[in-house]
Amino acid sequence: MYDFYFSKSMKTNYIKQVWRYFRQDPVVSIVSIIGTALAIFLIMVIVMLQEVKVVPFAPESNRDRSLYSSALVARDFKELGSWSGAFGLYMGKKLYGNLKTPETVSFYQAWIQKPSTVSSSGSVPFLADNKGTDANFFKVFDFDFLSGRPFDNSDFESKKHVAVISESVARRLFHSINVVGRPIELDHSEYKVCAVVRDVSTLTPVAYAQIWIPFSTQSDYKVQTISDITDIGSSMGPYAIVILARKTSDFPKIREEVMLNYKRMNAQLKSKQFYLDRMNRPYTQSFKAVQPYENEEFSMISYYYRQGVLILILLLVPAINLSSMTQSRLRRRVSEIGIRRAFGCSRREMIYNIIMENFIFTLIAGLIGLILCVIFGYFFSTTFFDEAFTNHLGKPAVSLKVLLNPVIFLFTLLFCFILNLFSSSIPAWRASRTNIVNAIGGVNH
Amino acid sequence: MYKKLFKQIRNEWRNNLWLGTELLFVSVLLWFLVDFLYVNISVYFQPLGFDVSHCYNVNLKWLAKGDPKYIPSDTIYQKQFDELVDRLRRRPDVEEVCISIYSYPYNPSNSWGELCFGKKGEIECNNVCRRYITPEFFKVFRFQGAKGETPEQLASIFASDPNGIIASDNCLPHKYHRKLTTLVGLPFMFMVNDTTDLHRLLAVYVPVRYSEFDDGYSQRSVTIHYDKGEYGSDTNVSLRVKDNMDVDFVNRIMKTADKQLRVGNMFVSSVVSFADIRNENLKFKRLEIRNYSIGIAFLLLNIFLGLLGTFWFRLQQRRSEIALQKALGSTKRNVFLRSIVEGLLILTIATIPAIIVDWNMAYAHLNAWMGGTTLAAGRFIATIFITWLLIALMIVLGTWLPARKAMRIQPAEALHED
Repeated sequence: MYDFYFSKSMKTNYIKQVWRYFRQDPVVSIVSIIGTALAIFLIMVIVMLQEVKVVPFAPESNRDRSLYSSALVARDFKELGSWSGAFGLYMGKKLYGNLKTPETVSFYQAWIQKPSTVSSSGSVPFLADNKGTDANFFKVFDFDFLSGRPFDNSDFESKKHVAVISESVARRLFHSINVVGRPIELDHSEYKVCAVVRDVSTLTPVAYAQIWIPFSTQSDYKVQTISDITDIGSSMGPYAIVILARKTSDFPKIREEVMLNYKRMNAQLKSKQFYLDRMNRPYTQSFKAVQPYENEEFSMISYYYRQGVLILILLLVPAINLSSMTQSRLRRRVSEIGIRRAFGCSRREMIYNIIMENFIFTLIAGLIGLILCVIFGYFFSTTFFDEAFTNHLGKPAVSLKVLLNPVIFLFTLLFCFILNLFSSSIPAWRASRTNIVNAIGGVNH
Repeated sequence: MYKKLFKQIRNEWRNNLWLGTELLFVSVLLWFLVDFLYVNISVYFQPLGFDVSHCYNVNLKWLAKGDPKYIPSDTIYQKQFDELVDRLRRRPDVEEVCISIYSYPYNPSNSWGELCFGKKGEIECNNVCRRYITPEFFKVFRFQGAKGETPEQLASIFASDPNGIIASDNCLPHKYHRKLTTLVGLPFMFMVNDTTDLHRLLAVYVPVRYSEFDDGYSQRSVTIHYDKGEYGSDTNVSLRVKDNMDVDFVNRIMKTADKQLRVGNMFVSSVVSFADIRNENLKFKRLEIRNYSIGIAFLLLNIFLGLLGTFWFRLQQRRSEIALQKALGSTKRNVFLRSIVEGLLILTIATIPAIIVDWNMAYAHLNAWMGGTTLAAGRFIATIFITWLLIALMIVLGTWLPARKAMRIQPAEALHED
């Protein structure tokens, strides 16, 4: 059976060829598909885990023009080693509170270490993640308000006991979301609900909480002055900073302002025998997403290098398998290849055709892998996005919009292409070198 | 028959080179992952040195200044903590209560610093985990003395000198390898050049690991008195419940928390069992192990699929030859075994260069550390063998299906086709 590929529509011929592959060697074809789908599945898991931390993801919809500073690193003049922690109010304000370039700067409680007990009259008390923020927090993040409005600056300054609560918390307390003005008890303190927002996923860690209150109402709130800064310990505290720039091109200007602030502060701290190490903060979203330790140098390049090596291995191992299977499959078509070459098909065209046929095959398997990955990520998001050092009560929920962003498809296409190149180049090259006479004469059988 | 197998492998060397290269590549990767799991499993089963069964942490919060129930005169942490510890101890189900900071087992925060001993010119210093505790800590977490002292004895020895320290046996491994007990009673320093701030070594305890996944080899710690003046909002209160009364403890204590455990502005916000704290702390390693296991499964599955595909073709191409063998009296079982032995032989040949690559990787410290080294004879041999075994298993499974098909070849038919 010889199919002649002189027709104009090469694409349908490729697909016909793929179908022929399948019918001829069902076992080997299934094996190839499983191998490819598995490899693409694992690679897309790695890509997806990374993407979720970097793409805009409500309420962190402005990730691309945000900068973060969540740790203060200080070093003693005498002792080796460093101290790191979140910012004390004085240090935070001095280093980041007077920036002119950004659109907004917000201070918030860096760690939710212990959840708060929440209750309302008539409901059983339960634990919820409570985060102290300032009023600007709600200008930086894109919360979905179901009722009410967030607290503003005057509420913050007057230490008004108001709270923004999530939908789940509202329903658990009151079985309703129209509860603005209702009182709740947070850790034995009375607060009034000022707004209800849609639940926030733990995959947006900066915005995440289940209850948001002005941190001026928290017990560790203390307005400090320079005289309170006696040692390294007193410069640390519970706060972190997020900066919303007007546009990404403002980043260098913002960094310069911050650098100047650190310089000025370090000049003042000389008498106390320690200095603050900026360590290139504030960080962009992509840097913050992968950086593991607060007080150690970290290189994005070496991170990408390691990820690259991992993905390369995930591509090479199945490529070797697929290569030998493609080779064996091509042996069957020796006479057909011989005839095509006899009719003037050049070696280069031959190689190109074989690689393209295999590409369709790889693409189909790759799409299966991608679909499996998305299904897994959506329906099993708690296991999929499970991370260490987070003991939050909320869930790592993720929307299909975030999982299926165009970048994911581009990556799938790219890795299918690379995998195909690895696995079918050598067999294609060897097949194209078939001696025409021997091929048609059947000597190679 | 097997002599001819060698010849056949040599004849088909081109195909076998491909298979052999794949097996070599995968074998090296697999060894790396297996070595990691081997290290972690071995370290997991080392003695822990402490006991957190029936232990709980009491999480505390304070009312804020603006709060209507705030008591302005109640601001001294020390008094609040002492009173709370007293009330907790009086509970019939509580065995012992202690106060510490950055020191309870599985703590996400910790403090490391130097511990030095010796005369000028021959001082040895080492980086150790510093635990700031009250004497009851030993009784709550059941540290054991290196000379057989019970936790109670360690607690009373510690209490006898507010400036003294108790350290783990392995703090000075170079000069005093496991013999810190000979230095009991002698002064230690916390900084190499700080000879004025001396602390007497009161006793020595059996080394305590930070968690199940921390290699005991490098786990050194020292316990220091927690200065009451330093108590603050980060201070931890931990307790041990009596063995036979640890039933639904969290609910029972939280029910009474409002009435009995409020001291001025301080109140109990939650009580967490150490089982949960432990789970939280070990999560990072658990996820790492999970990822490495997925990697191993991926590699093994690829081997399986690769062999399935390769031998499927191979045995199809050898149909006439197999038919001939059968016609000449070879049994079905022989045909089956031959395929598997062929695969295992290629694996074993590929394992030799793999061992060389693996050894070089270990020598270059590219794999995991255990017992202060990346290359130890027993561990290396074990991991090589386990790797070979896993791939061999995949080979047997992968050639099973094609081999079974080959077994069923009818000699007359097959030869007729040709």
